Formats: sequence, structure tokens, C-alpha cells
Amino acid sequence: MNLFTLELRKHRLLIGGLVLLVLVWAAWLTRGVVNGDPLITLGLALGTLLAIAPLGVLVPIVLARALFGEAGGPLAFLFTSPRSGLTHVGARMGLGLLVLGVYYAALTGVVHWVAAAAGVRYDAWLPPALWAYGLLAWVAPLLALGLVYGLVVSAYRPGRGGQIVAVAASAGAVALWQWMGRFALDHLSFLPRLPIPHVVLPEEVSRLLGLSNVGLDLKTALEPLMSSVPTAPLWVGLLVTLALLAVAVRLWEEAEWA
Amino acid sequence: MLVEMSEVTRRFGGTVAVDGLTLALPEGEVVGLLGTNGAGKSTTLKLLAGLLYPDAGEVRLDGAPPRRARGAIAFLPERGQMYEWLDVKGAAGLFGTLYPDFRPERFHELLGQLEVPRRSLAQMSKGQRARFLLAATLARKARLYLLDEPLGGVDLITRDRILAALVSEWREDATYVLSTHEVAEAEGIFDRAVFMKEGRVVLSASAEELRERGQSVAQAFREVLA
Amino acid sequence: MWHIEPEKGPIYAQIAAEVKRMLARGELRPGEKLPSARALAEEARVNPNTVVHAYAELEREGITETRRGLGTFVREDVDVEAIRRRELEAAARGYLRAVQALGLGPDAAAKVLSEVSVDAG
Repeated sequence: MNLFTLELRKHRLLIGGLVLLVLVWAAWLTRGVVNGDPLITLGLALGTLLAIAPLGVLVPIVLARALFGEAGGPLAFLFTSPRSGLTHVGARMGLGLLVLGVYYAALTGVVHWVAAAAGVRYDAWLPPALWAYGLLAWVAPLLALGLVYGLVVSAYRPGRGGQIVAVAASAGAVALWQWMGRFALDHLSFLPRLPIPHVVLPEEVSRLLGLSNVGLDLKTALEPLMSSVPTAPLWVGLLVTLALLAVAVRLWEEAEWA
Repeated sequence: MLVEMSEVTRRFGGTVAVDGLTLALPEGEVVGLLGTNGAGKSTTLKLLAGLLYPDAGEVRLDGAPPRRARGAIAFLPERGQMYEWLDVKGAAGLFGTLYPDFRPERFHELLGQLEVPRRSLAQMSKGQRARFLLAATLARKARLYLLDEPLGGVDLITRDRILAALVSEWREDATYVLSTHEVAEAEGIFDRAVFMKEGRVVLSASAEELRERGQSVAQAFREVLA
Repeated sequence: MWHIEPEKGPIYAQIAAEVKRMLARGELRPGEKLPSARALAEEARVNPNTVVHAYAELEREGITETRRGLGTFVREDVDVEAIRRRELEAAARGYLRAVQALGLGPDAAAKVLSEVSVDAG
């Protein structure tokens, strides 16, 4: 059993839950597409997506709690292992990325299928770009933050006051991350940018909006507002993730176990 | 000297667990770390294992901080817990991954010697779990074994088996430090007895020398720590 | 079988004494092999170094010898009679001490001894 399969084994319940959720959601939408109106189903899909996508935050929470739970005993055996902190942190981070990567890929895939059935057309790179965006800009940093928080609380067992400080520090980290994003957007325009994608909504939608009888291309609508999509959040997210992981590895190597 | 602790102090909140403790242990000895409850034995073992850092003073294993040399240290905590779902096969795999010096064949031999059933940890009694973790710890080929109350909370026969297993595992080139309350039962295996009181070492003596002078380790315990 | 009592002095001496007693009782014969230090240590729940010390002491007294790679053996030329005599003398001295503690002399000691022997058959 290596460290990665250990993590898989530890979090079977969470993984199973997410898998079940995706399967149920996909089945429900399939019924809507096959038996009902695909366009309405698409609306439902996007609406429910807003509800279940944030459930991904469960993964960093569970990873942090697992660390806290291990403080009772297993952590002693893990800390005294000569394996470097990088392998331990890497295994947990790797699991988190795998689980959420697959989760969001599944959600993206299902929405893509429903949208295609509803007649929405878009640039092929859009779904993978959205997936990568989500993963790098918010999933990875949140996972890394969860690991750092879990390590601080489990290794240093701060008292009530200390835990408030830890939460405040986490909030501060999130604020810092947001500030960095804005800074990058405002001042780092040399960073690569994505073109605005063509998203062509079917005729029914155009007719509904009282526009033309032809498919509505969102690109033409958005172009006057912005010329391209910044990738700054991606870079900031990557930077924040790497910084937090470095902190996590350092914590692992130096942390105490009482 | 393999292990050197000089003027080590460690506090937890308001309590001083270890107070200016100085201790030097040569290589290759079986050392009994003895003292009443609250004397600081557990804290000392964790400081030696590198799981705790001193507030003052230095802990050195072969001249280096123990956390850096952690590959050579095998620590068994007093109330060791492991993942409940772990069974023999899983443990062998996990310990093999965590510790390059883990010997699976020795692990299975020790499990037999200590009469540990082949079940998951959740299905074992407290004593069986303790022996399971002891077997996993002794199955490592480490230079320094730190065992916190390996004889604690188990019946007489089991304690006897644990002592026999410790002797059978003994190697000339390894150092063993174990804390125990069962002084009379365990003293036969000690080369040295270190007596602690209120976070300090009050006596460090060769067990056989104590006996030459007419005192068993248990008798010395009563005299020094009463 | 190996009853070590830590209050009765150094363990290595107790082990060496027990080996001599086994010789005296005939449980051990000249030329016979002693258990390995580790095996004896495990059985008695004592430190193997202590057994090594005991064996070294026995070798020093000329009772045993170490044969490279084979183990520790009782010497063929060991004087079992002398050992038995020393055991008896030690037992006698113990008896005499008990008698003297009661304020009696060697004659009373011998008298009680023969009476007890008759009873014991």
C-alpha cells in the first residue's frame, strides 16, 4: 500500500458519495434530454450545476479533517517516517486533485452533452478551458490551503484562541489571493490571454429574446465589452498553490506531535 | 555517545514537563526509563524521537537533531493508534512504504510470537492492538528504539511474552529505551536504569552494578523516587 | 526454570551459580553444550549481555569453554565432585547460621539433622 492508495482507502466514503451524486445528476438530466425538452434541461443543468459544483469544497475540508483525526495516533508513525514531507503532502494533494479533477470533468462533460443535445454550439476548447480554469484558479489553491490548515491545527493543536487565528489567517490567505488576482488583472497584461469563445445559442433562445431568427453568437455580443479573457487568475492560482504546498511540506518536516 | 540531551526544558502551557534534563546514552544498551506518573518520561521519549522540540537545551542523536536522523529511530507511542481498518497485510504494505528498514518476515514472526490474531485493528482488543503496533515497530531494523510503556495495560502473560519478544529482537548494534511501570518484571532486560523525577534525571546507573551493591532496580526505584 | 531474583544480587552471578548447581545435581554433564546466550536470555527474560557475562565468569572459573562457532560447553575435565562439595558446604553453612541464630551449637544441629533424615526415610 503506497501513500496514494492509503489516501484513496481513507476517503472511500467521500469519493463514493461524489460518484453517486454525479451518476444521479447525470441520469436525471439524461431523462430530461431524452424524454423532455433539451433546452429546458440545459437550463436545469446549469442551475443545478451552481448548486453541486461548490460541493467540491468538501474535499479540502475532508482532507484537513483527516489530518486532524490522525493527530490522535497515526501522525506519530507518519512523522517519524524517513519519507520526505513532499511524498506525504504530494499524496494527499494528488488525491484531492484527482478526485476534484475527475468530478469537474464529469460535471463539464455532462453539461457539454446536454448543451450539444440542446443545439448550443461552441468552440471546442471551451469546456476543457473552463475545467482547467476552475482547477487551477480555485480547486488547487483551496486544496493546498486545506492541507496547510489541517497541518497547523493537527500538529500544533492550537487552543480555541489559536484556532480563531488559524481561521482568520485562512481568510487572510483567501483575501490575499483575491488581491493578487486583481493585481495581476490590472497590471500584468502581458500574461497570455484567451480569445472570447464563440458560443452560439439556438434559434429558440434568440426568438425568445426577441432578436433575430438565427442562432445568437455570444462572442459578437461580448466583444464590445472585452477583447479577450485574461488567464491571470490561472497563474495566480498556480502561484498560490505552489506557495501553500511549499508551506505544507515545510510544516510536515518541522511539525510537532504531542 | 549515541544520544545526548543537555539542559533540555519543555513546557506545555503552564506545566514544565522536562526541566533542565541532561542525559547521555551510549550505543548498544537496553535502557529502562523509570519514574512515577508525570515524571516526564513520555515527553523525554518524544523529544528523543524528534516529535517534540525543546524550549531550551539540545537533543542530539549522533550529533544531529533527531528529526533529521528519523530514519534510524523507531518510536512506539504509549497509546498508539493506527487506522482502524488496517489489517496485517495492509500494515505490512503501509509500514514497508513508510519505513525502508521494515522487515515483513520479521513482522509476521513477531505477530506469531506475540499471539496477535489476523484481523483488522478494529476487531482486536486493546492489548492485541498494542502488540500489533509493537511488532510493527520491532520489525524495523532501527538504531534507536523508543518504546513508551510497551508493557502497559496488558495482563501478566502478555507482558511476559512482550519481554521475551524484546529479548529475541535484541541486537548488539541497536539501542533500546523503554519506559515502564512494571519495574520488577522488566528489570532483568535492562543494561541501565535511568530514574526520572519532576522532569529531571535523578539517577542513571548500570542495573548489574546496582545489584552488586545489594539493590535491585525495583528497590532503587523505591529509594530514589519515594 | 530460570528463576532470577533481582534482589539477590547481580543476575550474571545468579546464572553462573545455577549452572554450577545443575552440574552438581547431575542435570548438566561434562562436555555437554549450554544453551546459546540468546536462547537462555529469552527464556529467563534477561539481557543477553548478562548471560554473556555469566558465561565469561564460568569460563574464568574453568567450568566452561567456548568453542568457536559451536557454542559454550561444559569442560570435559570439570571437577564435578569439587562443585558438589562446594554446594554442600554452602548449604551446610546456611543451616549452621540458622542453628546459631537460635543460640544452639553444631551438636544440636547434627542431632536434629539425623532425626529429620530418619523421618524423611
